[in-house]
Amino acid sequence: MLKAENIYKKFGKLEVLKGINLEVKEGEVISIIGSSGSGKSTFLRCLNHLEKIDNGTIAIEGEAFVDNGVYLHEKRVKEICKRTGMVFQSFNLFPHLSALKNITQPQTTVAKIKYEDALQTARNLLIQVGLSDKEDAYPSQLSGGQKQRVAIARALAMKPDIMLFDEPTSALDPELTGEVLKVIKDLASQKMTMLVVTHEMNFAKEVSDRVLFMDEGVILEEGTPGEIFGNAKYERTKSFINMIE
Amino acid sequence: MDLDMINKLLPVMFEGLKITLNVFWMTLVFSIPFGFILALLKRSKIKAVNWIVSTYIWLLRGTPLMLQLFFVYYGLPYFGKTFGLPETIIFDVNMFGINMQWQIGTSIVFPPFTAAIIAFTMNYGAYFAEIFRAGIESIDKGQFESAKALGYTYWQTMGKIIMPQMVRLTLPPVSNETITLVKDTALITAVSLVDLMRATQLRVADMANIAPFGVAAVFYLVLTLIITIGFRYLEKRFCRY
Repeated sequence: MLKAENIYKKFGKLEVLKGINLEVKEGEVISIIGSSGSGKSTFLRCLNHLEKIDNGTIAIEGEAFVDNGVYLHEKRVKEICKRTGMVFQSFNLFPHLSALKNITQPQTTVAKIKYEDALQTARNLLIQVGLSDKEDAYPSQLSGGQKQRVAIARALAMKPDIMLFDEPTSALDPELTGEVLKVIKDLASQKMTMLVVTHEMNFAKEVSDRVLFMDEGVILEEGTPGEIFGNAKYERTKSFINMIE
Repeated sequence: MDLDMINKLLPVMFEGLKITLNVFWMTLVFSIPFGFILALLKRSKIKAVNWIVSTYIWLLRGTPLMLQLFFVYYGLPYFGKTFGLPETIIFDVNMFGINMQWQIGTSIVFPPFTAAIIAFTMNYGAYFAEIFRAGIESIDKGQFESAKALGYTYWQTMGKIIMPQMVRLTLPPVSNETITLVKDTALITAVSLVDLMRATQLRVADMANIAPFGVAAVFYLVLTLIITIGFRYLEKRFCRY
């Protein structure tokens, strides 16, 4: 489904990713944990070309859009990256469009889907995330949790093969994280392939098939939630988990 | 002021008003898109483009509009002469066996109205460019990112995501510029156009009476009032979200 090999990335002189390898299988849910500055968000953003890598290979569905640090033509890169959907920490809904339009416009603009079909998809997704009564609300009229649920619906409407979540609950009040996590859990039960950067350890434990612990630009340790949370090999992993829990 | 005076005054002033309004709306229609293009070019990643546009904006905002107007109207006719060029330069080009000839005049002469529109558009375009650039740059980076993540192209992002938000953000400064423009149109008297200002001045001298100045003031005030109300309506419309 998604394969990243030997990913290197620098911001100026600062090396943020130092040789990352990851293979994601269809239907797999993977949580990426680690302290801030460990490179987990940057890694996620490289996977859909929001950041450029310096070296390495990234392939989606067997098609590499960057091979040993050489990118394909910009247009082709865009085509391949459309197979991913992304949910941001700060939601990034379009403030000038209603909740419904936020979900229909990308479909009609980018995927060239007929408006009636886009509308149908949007309405179904709003039902799925529990916001069918908020069709006409503008983002400024929604709570953080509601905004994030619309953002998830917007990404899903583009029918991605894999969903990337970049700390989807970090900007939310504690009482609002639950409603967003529930939507993500529902997706997991529908076998959506997902990569989730998160600080929610309980969520990582319950939902993921695999947990990656990132530290200083490398994947220090990976395993099942049981292995990582119960029986971590590295002292660094243990101390991080103890500190958070 | 009696009825006879008003009858003599108003038709002339309305004639002048027509010129004023024509300069006003034509400048707006040309300089707003021009300013938007300049703003996009100024954000270009190509250093040379960025530098050229920045210099252009610096020149046009840094010199008097009157100087620019004079340059276009009184200056350009002597363009070639200044550099010792002949009145017309003829280019003879032989390409693929076809002989082509171009003539370029080095004495560039515009009628006063055209000169005014060119100078005003160049000048106001520079101001609008800075307003639009600031507007675009004050939009959250996350908007560009989520558009990119959803697969929007550059122009789709600009047209559907950034422009609608930019319009709302820049309405107050654009309204300001528009009101300034109404009054700046009075500068065109300097290229011998009989606009509202010139018509007024002529009447004052002709009638030996100060009243036309008052009437002109009322004309300008009504114009700016209409603009103010118009922009207030637009701001309300765009502030629904």
